[in-house]
Amino acid sequence: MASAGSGDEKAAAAAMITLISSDNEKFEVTEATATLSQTIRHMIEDGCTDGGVPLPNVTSKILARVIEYCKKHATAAAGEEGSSSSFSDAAFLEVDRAFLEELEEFDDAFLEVDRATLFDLILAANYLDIKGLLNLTCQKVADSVKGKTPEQIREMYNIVNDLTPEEEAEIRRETQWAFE
Amino acid sequence: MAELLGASSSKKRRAGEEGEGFEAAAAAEEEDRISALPEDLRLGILALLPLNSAIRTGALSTRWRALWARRWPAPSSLDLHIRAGDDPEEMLRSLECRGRRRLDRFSLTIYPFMSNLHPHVTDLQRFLDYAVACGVEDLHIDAADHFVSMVSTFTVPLDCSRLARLFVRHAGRLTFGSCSGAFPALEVVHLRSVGSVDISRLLWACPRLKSLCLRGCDCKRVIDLAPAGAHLRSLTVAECNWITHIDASRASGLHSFRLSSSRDPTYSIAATAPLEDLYISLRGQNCNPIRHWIQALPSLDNLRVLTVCSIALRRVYVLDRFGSATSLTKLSYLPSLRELQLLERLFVQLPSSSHDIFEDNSLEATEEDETDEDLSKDHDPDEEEDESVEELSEGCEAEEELLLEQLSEEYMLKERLYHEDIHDDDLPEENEQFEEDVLEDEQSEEGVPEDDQSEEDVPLYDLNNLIFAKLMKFKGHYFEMRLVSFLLRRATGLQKLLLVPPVGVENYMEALGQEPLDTSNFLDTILDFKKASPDAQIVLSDSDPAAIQPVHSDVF
Repeated sequence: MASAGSGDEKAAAAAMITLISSDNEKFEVTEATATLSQTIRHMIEDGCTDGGVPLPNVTSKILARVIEYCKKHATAAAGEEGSSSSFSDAAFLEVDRAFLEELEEFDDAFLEVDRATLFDLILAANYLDIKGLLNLTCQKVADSVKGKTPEQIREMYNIVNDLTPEEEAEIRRETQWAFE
Repeated sequence: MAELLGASSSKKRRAGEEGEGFEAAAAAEEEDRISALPEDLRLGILALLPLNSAIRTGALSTRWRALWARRWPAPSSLDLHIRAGDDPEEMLRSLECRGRRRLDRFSLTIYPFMSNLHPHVTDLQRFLDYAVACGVEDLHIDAADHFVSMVSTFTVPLDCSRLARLFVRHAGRLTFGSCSGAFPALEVVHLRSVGSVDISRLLWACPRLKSLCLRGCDCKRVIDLAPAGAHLRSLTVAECNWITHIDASRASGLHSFRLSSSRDPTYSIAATAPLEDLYISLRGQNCNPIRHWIQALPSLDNLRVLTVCSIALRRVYVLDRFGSATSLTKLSYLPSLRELQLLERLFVQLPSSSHDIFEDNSLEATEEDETDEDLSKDHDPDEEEDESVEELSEGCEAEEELLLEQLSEEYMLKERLYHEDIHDDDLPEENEQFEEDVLEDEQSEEGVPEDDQSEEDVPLYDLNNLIFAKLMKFKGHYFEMRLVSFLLRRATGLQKLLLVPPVGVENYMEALGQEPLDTSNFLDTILDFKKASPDAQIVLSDSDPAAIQPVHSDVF
């Protein structure tokens, strides 16, 4: 967490952006954090962030999680920039590796959410265009589907099977090898 | 769309906050969040999956059907066709321009070359190497060109970490890396007409093999499936006549077993294998493997689809005659059966003259079948037995004789069922023989009233799950009508009964001085039969487009 602290110090010097969730909660974040979202980056570039950025598709609960992710990864990005300047320094590389490991642990812990939150995060990441978060969350869904039978996936995600038995049989027959 | 999603997510959130247990709340709401995702996100998720998992999502619901086929960011699919005049070298060059971007599927088809411009065999190997370097998951190689297929040697490289399915048709030789577990993802292997292939090496290289299909391959004598263990679900070995033994004794997850050979290979299957579909067509001359083929089977309680070659069935009767009936009990209780087929893949060993004689007899018999033919067919069991011992080695006729003695109701029922699907390409003469025998079975059955009762009382032939029946070469003969009657009476869930008139039967009948087949005269009779399944459709044609596709539609 020490490194996160130093990130905050850096951020304090930077410009702050106000994000407004769908339920009108306001979040103050640094520009570095906010610009992990391509959507917000474009708004900043267009100079239309005065008075806050309304995000009508993201609730405060999800926005808080998204900001948590962005803060961590913005710090990581800043850390990477810092270490690249002293690339030859082995000690720095060591710190770097440790930091990447910590980031991975953070991501794993970050994904420890219920399914509903996970899907809300996917939609928010998609809307805010945060590539890293979108990849992370979609990978989590993909991993949960991987190797499962259609029945197991349906049960897991409450998918209603509206195929007729004939249609389903036909689908299975077309690509039978994948169902074996 | 976005607003809608936002609204539903806030609702969900409240539920989560109130109910502490997030999982419980999510389950209680029973919302299908994944299908509600915008399509581009679903495509993105599909792109993160291995190909076979992505394909499986196609069966989830209508919203997922075929979505996987256009998943992106794209692991793509390449379908290469090499025809006469194509320059493989140029194709390879343009592939290199594509780089090593990920590949879902790579298919290479080499068409027959009319000229002498055959591609170099080494070129073909380079295509395969390229596909593997791109992390191909579904690899398909088909060398339809005879020359290429004769001389080509393909080596599946060792670093196929993603390869999930391998299909090779017409290759001279197929070799694999020798390292154990080299293909960790390989689950499905189909090899057809591969001249030389080292199966044991392949098996050691793929520890997760689920499905193995060998057709017309020159494999060595014994196939030991131990490396695949309980992963193996489906095994097909067809026309690989050098194989003498198949050891699947550790394949405790085997669901599907299909074996077809003109020899009599033996096999061992794990006793706990939950077989659901069984296809056995052994047409060799040795009787013992027939005994073996039943004894080596696990319990057939789960069996849903059964296809048996009739010649094997005749041997079953022989066994029954000689006191091996206990080994047959496995075949007498098939509570889950849904589809049943009888193939007639003949091993013709009799001189044609003998056929002609027999054929004449049988035609007479079928002509008179509903009259007093039965009375004239009373047999002395002892006499029959002696006869059969002597004639056993002579083939069909002797075995046919044995059928006459079958007094046990269950076996007679079975015989009638097995006649349900007689394969197209058999010889008419043989077919006639069968009809005669079954006819006689029926008649002896009718001579013994107790048997009639047992048919109704003993639930041995519980056909409640049978939904599809197909009678090939249906001519409306007595026994065929009895079979139809039996099926309609007993199969409470029968959906379709397909009666297929024999192809070209008019010519055949005419050649023998008979009247051409008239299908209309027995149709009325059939429609009068009592039906246990009110919805059962009776179709008199093979061209019914709505016909249920039999699981064993592939006949080898």
